[in-house]
Amino acid sequence: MAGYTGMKSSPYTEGALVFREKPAVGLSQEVPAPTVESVAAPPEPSPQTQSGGS
Amino acid sequence: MTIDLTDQEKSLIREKVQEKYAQVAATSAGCFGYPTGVAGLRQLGYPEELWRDLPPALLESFCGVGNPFSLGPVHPGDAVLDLGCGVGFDACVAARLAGPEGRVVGVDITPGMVTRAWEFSMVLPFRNLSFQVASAEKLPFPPQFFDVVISNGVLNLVIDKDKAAEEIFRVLKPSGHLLLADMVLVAPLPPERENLIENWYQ
Repeated sequence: MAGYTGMKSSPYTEGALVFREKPAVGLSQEVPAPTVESVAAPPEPSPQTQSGGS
Repeated sequence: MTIDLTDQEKSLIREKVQEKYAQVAATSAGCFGYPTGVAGLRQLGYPEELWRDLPPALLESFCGVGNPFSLGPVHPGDAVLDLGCGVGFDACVAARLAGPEGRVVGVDITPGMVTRAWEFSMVLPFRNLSFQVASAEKLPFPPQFFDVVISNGVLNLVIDKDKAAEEIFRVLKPSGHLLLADMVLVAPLPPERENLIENWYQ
């Protein structure tokens, strides 16, 4: 995770930034492991996390 | 990540999320607990030269939780997917950065958002920009189609996040970039708020 954005939708949630690069051909034959687990909802969706659709 | 939900619960969540964002398509004012519109853009550090000439109504509809463009470049000529584009602000910024040789596609699951995005795009000079209704869990594009995928405050609303991640990396070209802004939990939910379906859309 690259960091937080300061945008808080509740006392429990905050915006975060994540950068990922898909491996180049030949470096890996595997589908990259999902990388959004840290940003995509937590164990339970949190109150007032609705966001986005920029 | 797997979240145990019944089919009925999943349908309810999708219905309520779309219902909420149909309202947001008109205006984001008062819909979120953080700054939106121009105040949000300024707080997030979007360079003003990228947006100051965009329609005021488009700017006021901005409700992103971060600035995905701060994570990496969009180059002239790039093919860009804006996943959960809303009314299309980030897609417009990407269209400006990708230039006439690039192409930008915005997808959103809420038809009202896509309609508004098309309406805004009609008054803008970008001819490399299009929008369509689609789910992050089933992207209507061939493999290795995009140089960059951007998303801003959307994946927290997607039920099958593993599938969405799989789709993102399927449509990205090798060495392509995901520039992602989204909401995360930074503190435990109080017990009375845990496991509430309403958490998804209230």
